[in-house]
Amino acid sequence: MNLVKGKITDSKECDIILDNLEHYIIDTLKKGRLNTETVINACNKVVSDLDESYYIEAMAGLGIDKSISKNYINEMRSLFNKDSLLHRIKVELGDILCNPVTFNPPYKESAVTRQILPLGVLLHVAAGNADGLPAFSVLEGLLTGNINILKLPAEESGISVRLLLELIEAEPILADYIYVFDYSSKDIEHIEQLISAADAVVVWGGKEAVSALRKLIPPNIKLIEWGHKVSFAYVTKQGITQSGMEGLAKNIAETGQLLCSSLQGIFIDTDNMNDIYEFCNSFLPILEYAISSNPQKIGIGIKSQSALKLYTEELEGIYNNNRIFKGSNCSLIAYRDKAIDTSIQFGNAWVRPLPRLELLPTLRPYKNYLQTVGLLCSQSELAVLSDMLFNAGAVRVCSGENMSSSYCGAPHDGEYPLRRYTRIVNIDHSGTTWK
Amino acid sequence: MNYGHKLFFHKDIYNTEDTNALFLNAILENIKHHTDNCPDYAKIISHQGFSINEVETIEDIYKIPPIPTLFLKKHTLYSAPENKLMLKSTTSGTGGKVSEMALDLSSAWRGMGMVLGTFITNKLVSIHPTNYIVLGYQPSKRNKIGAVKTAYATTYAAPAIHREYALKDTGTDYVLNMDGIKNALLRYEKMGLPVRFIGFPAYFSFLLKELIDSGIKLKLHPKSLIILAGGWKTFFAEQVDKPALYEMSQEVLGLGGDRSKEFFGAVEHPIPYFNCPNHHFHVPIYSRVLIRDLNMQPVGYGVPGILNLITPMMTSMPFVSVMTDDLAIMHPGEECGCGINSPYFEILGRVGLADIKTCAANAFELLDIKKGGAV
Repeated sequence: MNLVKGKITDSKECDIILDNLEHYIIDTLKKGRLNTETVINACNKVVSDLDESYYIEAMAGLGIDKSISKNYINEMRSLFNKDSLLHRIKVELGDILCNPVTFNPPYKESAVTRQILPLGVLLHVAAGNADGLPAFSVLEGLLTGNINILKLPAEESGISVRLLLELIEAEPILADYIYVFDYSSKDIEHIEQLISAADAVVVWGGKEAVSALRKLIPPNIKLIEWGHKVSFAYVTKQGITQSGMEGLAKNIAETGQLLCSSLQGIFIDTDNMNDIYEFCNSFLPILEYAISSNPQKIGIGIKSQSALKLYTEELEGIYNNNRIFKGSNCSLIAYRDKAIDTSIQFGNAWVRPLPRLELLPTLRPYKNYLQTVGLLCSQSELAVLSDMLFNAGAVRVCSGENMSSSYCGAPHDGEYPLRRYTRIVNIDHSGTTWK
Repeated sequence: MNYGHKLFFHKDIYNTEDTNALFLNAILENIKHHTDNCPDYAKIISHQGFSINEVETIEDIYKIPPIPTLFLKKHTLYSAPENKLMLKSTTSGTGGKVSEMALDLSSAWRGMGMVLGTFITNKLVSIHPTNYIVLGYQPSKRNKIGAVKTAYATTYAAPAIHREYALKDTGTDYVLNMDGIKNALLRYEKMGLPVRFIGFPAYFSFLLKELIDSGIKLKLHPKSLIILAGGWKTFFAEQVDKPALYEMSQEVLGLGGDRSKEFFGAVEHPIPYFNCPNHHFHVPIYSRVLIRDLNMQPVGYGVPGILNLITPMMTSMPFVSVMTDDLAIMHPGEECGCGINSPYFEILGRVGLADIKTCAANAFELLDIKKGGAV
């Protein structure tokens, strides 16, 4: 589906529009800047009037379970209402967008004026996975006053276009700032045309998407990557509590282990495999209970795949000496090594030993891939351990329960998105010509 | 040995009922062979708590621990010394991970018996001199892909006058030989001898389109055959287009669906399953097929589950009981109505939904590469 100037267009029209894209952009840029308040008001209206059932159904079409999509919608409501957005802009940008601030820097006699401005045109290349909707990326682009071109992923079922249309309906002025094209990623010629219109390309997705785009983007166009990440839990002896373990189980059960922030496995602060087995024995019934209270509506295809992978791991035991703790619709696999990998997912997590002194050398090789750590430890260990985890590359530490929830103004993968979509310009008032 | 040899040279290839006892003996012989010659196989089955004494009747073969193809792609297991291995093959499959397969003399001998039995039963053996269009790679020492060998072996089912390959070996490289094929076909038509096309459905469809684009329309010998092979996955992707494909072939070559034979197999289980006239894969005497549930327990007819293929063919590698990553349903032979009484299975598709992409799984791909592929 393509969306140009608030209208759904067919691919033929799109080709014509694409040939004139630079003119359209220049026309919009000439009109003056997009007011952040206008965008915030539109967002607020859209989230308060949201047709929940439509979005749940559309996300189900993408394979997203109802429990996850409901969380998305609730999260969307709390993150995109007026108060939240105002708070977010304050936290992320510090200043108000496009608001000139004049000040005297230390050791400089004359004043300078600083202003945060949009980058200009953002091309968003969205990923087809379950983590975040392509429209959210556009929204962040709008909040920072940018003109946004969205290249839809192949699996999109129209959710993003609908959401963006609702935004335009709420505030027609936004029509000039939103373009959606569904050219295939393989359609290099058109993708290159889209790239050439942009000041920066925002890429969501895996290594193929990122490396393919890296080759196409000329050096004068900025590349803003949001790559895939992995998350896990770190548990100390003192952290093994009923409620702590319930939190980990909740994340596993509710997210299906599909998100970047989902728990894939659990490291225990020990070198003794008996501690690992003991943990598995006490955690398995808790996980079983959480899974049975959050039945995932996954088909026989996925269930069989998980069962096959688990059975394969069972056979792998002859090589790696792993031990499998099987529950009903879930499992824990105790490994002896200290690696991080994706779990079998859908209720199947790994458990590995990792004494705290080995945290840094073990996690360093995974730099830039680590995201959230669900940390179960005592209050007195929290500061030391979270610092060690950050030092080793993690960007978020929280309880197991909160691994996949966010809060207003939270950084994404260790960065503030709005900052990445803006630039800081300044006027130096020294000199005489302007007097 | 040699219940195995006996089974693979048995003539009545769909009489599974009467060959149950022979099959059981061949399986037991095969398990014993692998346990004695492949330490890893011995470890796997004992790790699963299996003892050969548990298999007393044909009903017990489900107890043999199946080995998933997923496992075999990671670990290459041999039950014969390196110098006894011949005919090495790798999968031409998708997904990057490669399965290796090699036959020793005994497996190859059985394979020959099976190919003969299968070809005679499916009326693929002919004494008429025949011209061949092989829609694949010209065989060479450099090319180990299993399908190449199958395609080449198939050209012996009828005396070959000439073979033309779609991908020609230049000695250093392969080049698309479309002009060569077109010229050969025009020549073959004039010669008036039967022509056999051998290849994958996708290649055949590509050839037909090329012929249409060049305005070539032929009337080939009515005894000509289109023999299409593929993995289950190919079958799935292509199935929808089959009627259209044969309509096009009728138009361009004068050969419709009644002149086609399709068979499917997997590297880890090299038993050919031919399509019966009702497009069903009946189980030949060389194998038994089970469907398993999520706990790897066998289920009965009509229940979907994971496809498990069992054969005593291989002596070079312990592929006795192989767990595919396909979902299937078994049906009793009588349900088909084609006259073959052995049960048949229906493939439902691959396990897992390929299009559910998760960022965690994709990040893992990155990690996997960093770790040099080791998990």
